[in-house]
Amino acid sequence: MIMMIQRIKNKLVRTFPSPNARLKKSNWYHSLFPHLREYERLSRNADVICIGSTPAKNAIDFKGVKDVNGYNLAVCPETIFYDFQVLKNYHSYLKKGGTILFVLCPFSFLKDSYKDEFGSKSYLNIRYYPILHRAMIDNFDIELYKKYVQNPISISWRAFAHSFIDSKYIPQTIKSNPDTPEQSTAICKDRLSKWMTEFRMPDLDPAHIPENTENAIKDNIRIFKNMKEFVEERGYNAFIVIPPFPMEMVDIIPADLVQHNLFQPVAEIGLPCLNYYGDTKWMDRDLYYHGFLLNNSGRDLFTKEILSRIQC
Amino acid sequence: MIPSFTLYNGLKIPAQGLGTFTLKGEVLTNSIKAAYEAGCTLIDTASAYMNENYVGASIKQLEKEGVLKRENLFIETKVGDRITSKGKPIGYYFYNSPSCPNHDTKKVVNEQIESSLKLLHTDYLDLVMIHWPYFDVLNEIWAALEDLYEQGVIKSIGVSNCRKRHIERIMKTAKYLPMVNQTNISPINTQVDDYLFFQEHGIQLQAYSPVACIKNKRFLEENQDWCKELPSRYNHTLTQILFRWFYQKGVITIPRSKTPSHIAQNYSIYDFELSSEDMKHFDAANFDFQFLVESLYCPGY
Repeated sequence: MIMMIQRIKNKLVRTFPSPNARLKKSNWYHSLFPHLREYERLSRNADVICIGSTPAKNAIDFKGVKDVNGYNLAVCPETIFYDFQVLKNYHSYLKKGGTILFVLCPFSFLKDSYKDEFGSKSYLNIRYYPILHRAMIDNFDIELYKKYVQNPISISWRAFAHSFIDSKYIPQTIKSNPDTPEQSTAICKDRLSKWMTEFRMPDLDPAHIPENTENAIKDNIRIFKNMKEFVEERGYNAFIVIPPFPMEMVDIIPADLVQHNLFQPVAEIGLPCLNYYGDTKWMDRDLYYHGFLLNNSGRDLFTKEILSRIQC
Repeated sequence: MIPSFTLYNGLKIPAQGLGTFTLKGEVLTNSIKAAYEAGCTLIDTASAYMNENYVGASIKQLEKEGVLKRENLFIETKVGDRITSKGKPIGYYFYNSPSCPNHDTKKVVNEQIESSLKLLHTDYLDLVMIHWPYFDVLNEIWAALEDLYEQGVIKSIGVSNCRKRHIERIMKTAKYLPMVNQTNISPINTQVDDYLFFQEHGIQLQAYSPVACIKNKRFLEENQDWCKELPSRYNHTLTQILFRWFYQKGVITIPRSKTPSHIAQNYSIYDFELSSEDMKHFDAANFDFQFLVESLYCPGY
């Protein structure tokens, strides 16, 4: 009898999962909160680590590479400020003279904080609570952390909403491109339009980039230069990696905007750069998903390409 | 009798000491007693170990029992961040981050030293070290320690877990160089460049967790036959032979032990000498072993 009640209870839980359980399965949760498993499985004397935001998460994957002890520590989305915090916290996993890959895209330098969209300074920082030393986290709040662990939907109305509307998790492991060329183009246009809104750009003319966004670029260059000094002082090798983008995306971002947003800052920083942006060898649509992100097959190929370039 | 090394300020420091991390109560008292009776007068603790009160109480009790005298002891402690039950620092002190509630470094250092003196029942400390090279305020902590050293409250000042780059940073603003660096150096992590740098600048090295090397699987596998043969050749245990390597390298060791017989053995290493071939064999065992992931304990390390 007890067993039967237990079975019915289990079935009910499976059929009607709690909002927290639904949230943890949602695409939103998986895309926003760092994949702790990557941090938990780190082992010492790593050959290479990868740091960055969404482009980094989707460009590099060491799982398919043998004989290289590498970890992708990207968190998406992530500012360059938090790239540095992750580096400060995890660099000792690298072996002596190990390699750090900083993966960047045309809009990486434009963002210095996520507080505006989420209406709370600490909201996005919660993602770092399980992985970063608390002094590395702005406005660390232990009570908020307990909420995140025990009752994640209570941390924000967004989390609550996503537990209902976004329950299907699209795994990052997708191996092919599920979209038609038309769909891919539409996704790329939509993404570009969202970036323009996010960075308050009235159009795609670099001369019209607003002052606060220009200031963010300057701030991020300064942080990156500090990061370069940090890396050099510790005797690591570091590379900036600019991953490939499909033609659908390259075609709609003016070259002078990419020059201003990406290549100019990269040149100013002075780290060796492995640039694949606009590389015609990487235009095959089958290598991407979600319009412009490298899928599992593309990521595998690209990781091997980068490792061969850095001779790792 | 355990010999001494001399710090560059003239202070004598024993070549071996007793580590006390996680020890408390009667176990700690018995360890200190056994170590003292075996000739060990150096006791190592830290504010972050949360056992300074137990160390102080043990010393007081053993003094009362007539076992030891404070003036014969060399007590060393460390200023540092608060730690969690798992030994991880929590960022309560020594970070410029807004998450860190304490930004008056000098005040924090003075308060910690005051507390250490009180808990250890002493009016001076033989050595105080900075527990980790805290990225944001390393030079400020050092300046605060220098003041206390000049006041005579501390007989010598040092650092812990520091590499060459950290000392170079301290050197930019320091009046005095660190006298000691307590770190994890061992035959499997020889840190040759740093070792030579410390030697060159007269900074005394002190090794924590010295026995970890001979518990390391890779070391034991790669040196299997040699490790088996050494004890019979020198008529000492492998642990004693390892301690002897440290001594001959000029490095202080602070092994921790709860067992009186082990404690006595740890300090019986001064009646034999390792050959230069065996010293070289130990040196060649290096594979840059990482004992701790330092940046997890001290972000920005």
